[in-house]
Amino acid sequence: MLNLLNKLRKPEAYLKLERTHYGIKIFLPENVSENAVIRALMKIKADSYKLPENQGIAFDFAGRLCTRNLILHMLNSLIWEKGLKVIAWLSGNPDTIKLLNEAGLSTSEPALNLQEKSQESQIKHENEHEHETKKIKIPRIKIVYGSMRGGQKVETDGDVLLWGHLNPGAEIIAGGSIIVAGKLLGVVHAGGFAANRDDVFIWAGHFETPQVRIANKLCYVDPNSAAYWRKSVLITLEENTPVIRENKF
Amino acid sequence: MAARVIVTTSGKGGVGKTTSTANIAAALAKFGKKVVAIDADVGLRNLDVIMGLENRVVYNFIDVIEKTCKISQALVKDKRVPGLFLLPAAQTRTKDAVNPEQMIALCEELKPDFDFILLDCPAGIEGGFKNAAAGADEALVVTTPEIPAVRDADRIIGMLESMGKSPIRLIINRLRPNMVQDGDMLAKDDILDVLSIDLIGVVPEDENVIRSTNNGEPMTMSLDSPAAHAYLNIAERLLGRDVPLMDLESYAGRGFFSWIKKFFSGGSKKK
Repeated sequence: MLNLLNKLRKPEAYLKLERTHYGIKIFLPENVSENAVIRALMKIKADSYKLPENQGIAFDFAGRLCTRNLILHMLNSLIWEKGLKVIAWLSGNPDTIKLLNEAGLSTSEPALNLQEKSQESQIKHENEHEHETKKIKIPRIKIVYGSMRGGQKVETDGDVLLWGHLNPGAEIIAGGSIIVAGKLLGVVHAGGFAANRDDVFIWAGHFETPQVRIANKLCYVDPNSAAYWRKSVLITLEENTPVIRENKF
Repeated sequence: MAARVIVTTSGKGGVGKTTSTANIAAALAKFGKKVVAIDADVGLRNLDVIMGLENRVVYNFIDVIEKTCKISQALVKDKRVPGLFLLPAAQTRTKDAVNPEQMIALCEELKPDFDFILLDCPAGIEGGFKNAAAGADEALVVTTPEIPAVRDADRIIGMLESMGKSPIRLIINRLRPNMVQDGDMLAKDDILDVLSIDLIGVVPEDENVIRSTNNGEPMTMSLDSPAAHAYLNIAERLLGRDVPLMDLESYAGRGFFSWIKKFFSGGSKKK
């Protein structure tokens, strides 16, 4: 009888958790129904994952094909409702990655947090040989397909290529360089975070933003006097001064 | 019958969501469809006033959700247009009184009995918006030709896209062709350039909107005015008919009065 009841019971999903350098990674099981995954996620209590300020949660879909319904449930009933700080949405499934990118969600493995970076730097100083043998995964370039709308944000330690427009109210903060193939109307910060690099650039297909941030420099642009307004531009940092060049070739 | 569920939203307040919902609902009913307009703005209900049905409200959809009454008891039938119904919001409750799952269940319960369910969404991007949007399949985003409204519309479109709503179509409301011509107002193409979604209609600024709102009679029920025609056209486009956009630019500089005169004298009202 008990066996029969067990057979009738809906299969349960179990979430696998892993401690990482940026916080917690939650693996969503691949071989159970979406409803079972949602039921398991709903069991997460609001105060379950109170992490330090510089840490967060990454959801890993692995090979699972994620649907809009699942993302919506996670956003509505878990993340917004319970206030979880999610810093990455990881997947090995190309369709899931495409869907997450279209939603403006970060699909890159989070880089080392600031505190750990400084520790790493110290280790390198003390024992360079040991550090060379240690592999650290830092994203090289993040490609975002489609325009980013107001309120959407991409943060990465590497470079960013936006294959679309960056609308007003949208933000890209990158440790490396930024290319906005369409209209640049929102906020970009190249060489940001702790990177504070001065060898980065911003390229925009159509420059129309009143403010640009590059390394530790903040530049304001006056639309009435800037000759490069609504033109294709390259912005670099030369001798610690931002230089904006219009594409005239 | 399985209703199409459409949320009317904007992000910014005061751009004409409720007016649009009332007028499109009345227009669809005039075209013979069975329509229910749901006021999803819990705590700040207005749709009943704009539709002129406030005196007949007994129950609201929170009562339905809490099973205080049956859904048929809460629906207010508009006696002026066959097939038009209102499901009012609670005025004495807050937006926390409902959650997205309950809203989805409410729409599912209504779907078999209607052709269209129009959800009038509150302003903002918080709980009220999420509740209203959760029940809908499609969305109408209303914006005025002002930069803050367009920016908020962009934010809302991003959220609707991430929620899987499709199609998401744009209504540009309160356009003043004279101001556009003078370069003092964003033009239709400027707005579409930023928002990159399909346009379903442009509603010109029209003082008849205020008149009809205060009289509690949606313009599309009877009034002949530029805004009424724009809303009737939007309803037709929702029904899949190919209706050209009104030629607002042609009467810019001459005022609405001359446009109406031109319309009644048999001049072309459309492009």
